Amino acid sequence: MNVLKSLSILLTTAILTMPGVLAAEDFSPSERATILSLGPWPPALVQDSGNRASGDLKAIEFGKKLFNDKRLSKDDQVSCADCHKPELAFTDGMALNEGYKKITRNTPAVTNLRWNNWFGWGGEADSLWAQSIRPILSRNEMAATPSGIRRVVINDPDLSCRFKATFNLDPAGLGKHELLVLIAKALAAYQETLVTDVTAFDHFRDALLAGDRNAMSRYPRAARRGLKIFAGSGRCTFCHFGPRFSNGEFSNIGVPFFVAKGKVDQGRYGGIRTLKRSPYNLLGKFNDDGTAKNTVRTQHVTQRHRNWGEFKVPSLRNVARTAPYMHNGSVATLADVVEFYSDLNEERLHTDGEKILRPLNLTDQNKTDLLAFLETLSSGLVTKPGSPDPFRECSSVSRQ
Amino acid sequence: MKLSLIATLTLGLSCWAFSARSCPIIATDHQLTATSAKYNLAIVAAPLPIRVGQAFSLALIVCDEQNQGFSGIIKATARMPLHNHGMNYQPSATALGKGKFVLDGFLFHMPGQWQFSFDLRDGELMDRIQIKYLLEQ
Ligand code: HEC
Ligand code: HEC
Repeated sequence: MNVLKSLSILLTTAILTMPGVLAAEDFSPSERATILSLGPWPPALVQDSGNRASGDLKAIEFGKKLFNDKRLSKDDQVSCADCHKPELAFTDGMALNEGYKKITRNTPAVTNLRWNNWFGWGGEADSLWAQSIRPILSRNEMAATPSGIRRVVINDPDLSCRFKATFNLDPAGLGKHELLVLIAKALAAYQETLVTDVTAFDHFRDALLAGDRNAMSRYPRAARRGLKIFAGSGRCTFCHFGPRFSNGEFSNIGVPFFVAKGKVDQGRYGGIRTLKRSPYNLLGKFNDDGTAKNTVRTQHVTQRHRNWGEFKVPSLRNVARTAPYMHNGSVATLADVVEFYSDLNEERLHTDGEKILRPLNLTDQNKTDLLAFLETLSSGLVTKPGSPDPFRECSSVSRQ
Repeated sequence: MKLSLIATLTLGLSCWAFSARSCPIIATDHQLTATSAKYNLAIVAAPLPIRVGQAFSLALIVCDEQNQGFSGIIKATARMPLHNHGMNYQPSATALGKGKFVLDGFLFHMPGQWQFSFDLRDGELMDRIQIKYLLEQ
């Protein structure tokens, strides 16, 4: 009996350690490759060639000040930071915000955007600085005008001084559009520095690469099983790809896109139209990249019928901290998102649409596991040691 | 190390694309080829390797059965047959003469099986050549 028992234990261990026979939370070679492709984090922060202010210390500080300044809105009502709240991972925590009028899209986080190519849920902008102009002028969000912004900057000695110190240009000598673009470029320079930190998942991924079993064992088993679904049978990484957990493109996953009776959000379809019409797109005169190398996407993107109802594949970094979810904020919790994918409504998916998506019909255990995995993607921001005030020359003006 | 590798590959492509060499097609590294009844076609991508979500270009050469360079019009695209979708971008073609072209504006947004498709139009004649490409992650 004893002999038999030890024999069977021996056999089980042998089977479990045999290559090809996997415990629930072990990974196949292709799952392993997929997991490794979700890192390393963070990628290198390369300067944005279309934005002369990108990476510039003064522009970053100036942009931070502007991001928190309500005077960029009509009647000084809201700042960027009122909707992109640092304490809420740069979102607003609500399904749909109201600036000056009801907004029909959920406020996304403004972190990790340097590695993004399209901005807005429909990809209405092709650069971070162009995207930063949009809320200022949008009648629903900040409802300001280029001439209004010019007046604010010129009439405030402190802002004027910082503007001059940053761009080496007298704001009073600039036209309203030129000035607005530079304000947006400073805003972009600041937002580029909002990078989320390394997560529990990243530690696991790096340990997997290094073959460090000890470090791997610190990652919860439930999260490992959830990761296996994410990178394997769930096929999530077809779209939530790479270190940002987004391929940067657009898909229709069947989230309804009616915004009011008889009105729809056209998603990517309308986004491409807005992009092509914008005087601020990279094909226009405000692109600082003389080689125009950064225009390939904008030049070649074409509007197709299937773009109707497609929305940007959101990054999943910090996803546990950015509820509610989807372009219209219609899904309240991360557990509800998992339910959504489990019961995916096939009729709502375009008949000619993605064949990747299908209802996953997850068990309760699967759902808990997938959720546990998604919860390991969060962290705070990478913080840098504070630099001395780059605007010392402005301190006398601001005290006036 | 990595940088210099990319530099050499890109350089390799431009040499290939702009060299005086013309038809017939000679085998080179990283080159994919296909044929139809009338044409032989070869492509090389740059930068290499092709990566998910990153734009790339193709250097392309097309020769007919008499080893003359194709001088018609090329329209190129790519799709994922299993997923039933194409790219989100329409590549543009620039003719360099002697059957050589540069195609800009490709972007594969998912890993998996892709299929390039080249429509060759010479007056009334239309030919389509397809090349499969497996994009690993
Ligand atoms: C009233 C709330 C509100 C204010 C104020 C606001 N935003 Fe937003 N922001 C949003 C919403 C809603 C979206 C999504 C818009 C869309 O997809 O069309 C958004 C999207 C963005 C994006 C795109 C992010 C991505 O992932 O594509 C950026 C960048 C951004 N805002 C920056 C700013 C800046 C800079 C300011 C200040 C100049 C600002 N926002 C002010 C609500 C706001
Ligand atoms: C075909 C591409 C695709 C696949 C596959 C896919 N997603 Fe998504 N995902 C999207 C898109 C697009 C959205 C936004 C949809 C919208 O707002 O209309 C989204 C939204 C989400 C969100 C909400 C994020 C936010 O900030 O609002 C989560 C979480 C998520 N997906 C997780 C997953 C998981 C888990 C899987 C696998 C079970 C998965 N996705 C598979 C494209 C995809």
